[in-house]
Amino acid sequence: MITTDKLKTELIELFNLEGVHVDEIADEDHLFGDGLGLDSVDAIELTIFLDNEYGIVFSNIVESESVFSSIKTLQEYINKSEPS
Amino acid sequence: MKMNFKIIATAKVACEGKCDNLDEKRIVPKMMLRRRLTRGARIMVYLADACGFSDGAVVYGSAYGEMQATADIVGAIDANEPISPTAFQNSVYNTAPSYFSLLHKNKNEILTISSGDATSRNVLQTGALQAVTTGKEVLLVCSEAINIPNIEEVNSCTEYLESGVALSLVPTDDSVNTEVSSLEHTGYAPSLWAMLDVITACESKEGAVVALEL
Repeated sequence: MITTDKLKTELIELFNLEGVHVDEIADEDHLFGDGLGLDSVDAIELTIFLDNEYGIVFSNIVESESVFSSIKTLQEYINKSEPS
Repeated sequence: MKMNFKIIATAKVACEGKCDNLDEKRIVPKMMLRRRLTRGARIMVYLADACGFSDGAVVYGSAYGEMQATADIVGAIDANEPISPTAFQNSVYNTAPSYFSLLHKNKNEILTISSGDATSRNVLQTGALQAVTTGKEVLLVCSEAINIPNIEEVNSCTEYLESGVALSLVPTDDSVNTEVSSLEHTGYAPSLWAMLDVITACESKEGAVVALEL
């Protein structure tokens, strides 16, 4: 199981978010747009990261859109996808 | 054929390892842009800032290009992993001047040159031509950022794993008042030497006018 704090730490490192600390990111913050401010290149980077680290491959873009909605939705999806 | 050019500003930076003091937070206040900058881009925006240049045509050169991004791509291919889109977009030769243009919303022309040890010589010539063509100030930058893991296994050309040189110039009818000599700039990659010749002759000299080959 991954915690939201662990996920935030991984995202900060993945996207080189200089000067951003875990406690500054809310669980409900959006990954894109007015939240963390990630962009379309980051979306591909995140997709590759999820495949490499968690073996998650999205079957369609609609699925990834809802998963990428916020830190919380992403964390829940990773945990749901983890093999038991 | 030679023509005369006034050297408006010069700057250089060189470090045996990573250059730590490139003042990125001041020069690139937006973190979401700063986080993407390659080492070459950080050197480029630092040198442009040191020259007081943010709007105009740029001629950029690098013999080795974006080594880290290229190494990341090769490493991913070797490991049979997907290629990072960030590494992909950062791997091209014009990465550094492109980030400079994004930073300053500079819509002027960018030319990028890579021609081995002759890189800065060709940047000088191209920059001179650009300045004559437009009649405006042009920024010339050359940088090398080869500070990647295991580089010592193949590096025999430079002590400075990160280095860069820059100058801005305009064409002038004034007479030449500064002679440029070809020197051996120990420690620097030879790709930077021709511009270092000009910088060495002109630094600390206001209103230097040099003759450059077109």
